[in-house]
Amino acid sequence: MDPFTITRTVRIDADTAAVWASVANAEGLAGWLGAAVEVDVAPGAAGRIVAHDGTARRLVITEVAEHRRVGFVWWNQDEPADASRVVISVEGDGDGTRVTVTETVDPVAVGALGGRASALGPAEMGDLLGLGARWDDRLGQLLGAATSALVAAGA
Amino acid sequence: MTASIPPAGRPARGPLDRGPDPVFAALADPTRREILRAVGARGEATATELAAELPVSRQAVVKHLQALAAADLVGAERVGREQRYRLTPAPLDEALRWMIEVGAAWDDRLERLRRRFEPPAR
Repeated sequence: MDPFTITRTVRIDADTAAVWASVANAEGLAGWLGAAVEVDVAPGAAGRIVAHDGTARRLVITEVAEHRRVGFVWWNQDEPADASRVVISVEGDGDGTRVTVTETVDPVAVGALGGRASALGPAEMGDLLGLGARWDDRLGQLLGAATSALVAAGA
Repeated sequence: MTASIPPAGRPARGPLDRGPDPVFAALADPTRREILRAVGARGEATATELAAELPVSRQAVVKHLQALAAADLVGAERVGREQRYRLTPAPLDEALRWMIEVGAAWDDRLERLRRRFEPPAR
């Protein structure tokens, strides 16, 4: 598993067309992807997102596969070097819908991270964080209350 | 119409890759995790202080702290007759921090999306 890729998935009790409508345009994306979303969901289009924590992001749509997938590159407006690639996939799951998201650090941004591989190799990183598992369950099991202290001290 | 933008190459593995990994091995032991947690909660601690707080002998605490120090998860400074330990999270570097934060952010977003279709019962 790539240490610079996150994957998360959720199953929703709703039909795929309805869920796709929440992914396929800015009106649908607003409220969950970010507090405010302004973008034409079409390849090459640039836009803006205001996150729920107030931070401003820019994005550029890289791919749209109708009823299946939207991909974009995005970055914190103040930190353009820290861009990452996101893919949101939608697929039917019985009478519900599964939404899967991956976010991958853009290699250009690895230099901004110091170009270091983590001291945890990719296999351990995947095991540590658990593909599809809630981060706080897995990481909490391993680190407990030390997590926030460790993350804060690493700032 | 604009073509989709092709992804760039994968990042090469850096100078820190080695295995078997002492950091993961250090974190795999539940007693060591508890000690790490306790050092984090206190800010800094000696083996004696930790042994007083935890159901672990001082001798065992010393061994665990040595393993944590070997993995660079704690640093030690001699003060008087004892070593004082504190967290040194350098091995939990930017990549892990990023994964923690980004993973949590996506959990929140997907939960908001789910609740749009499955509002909580009142």
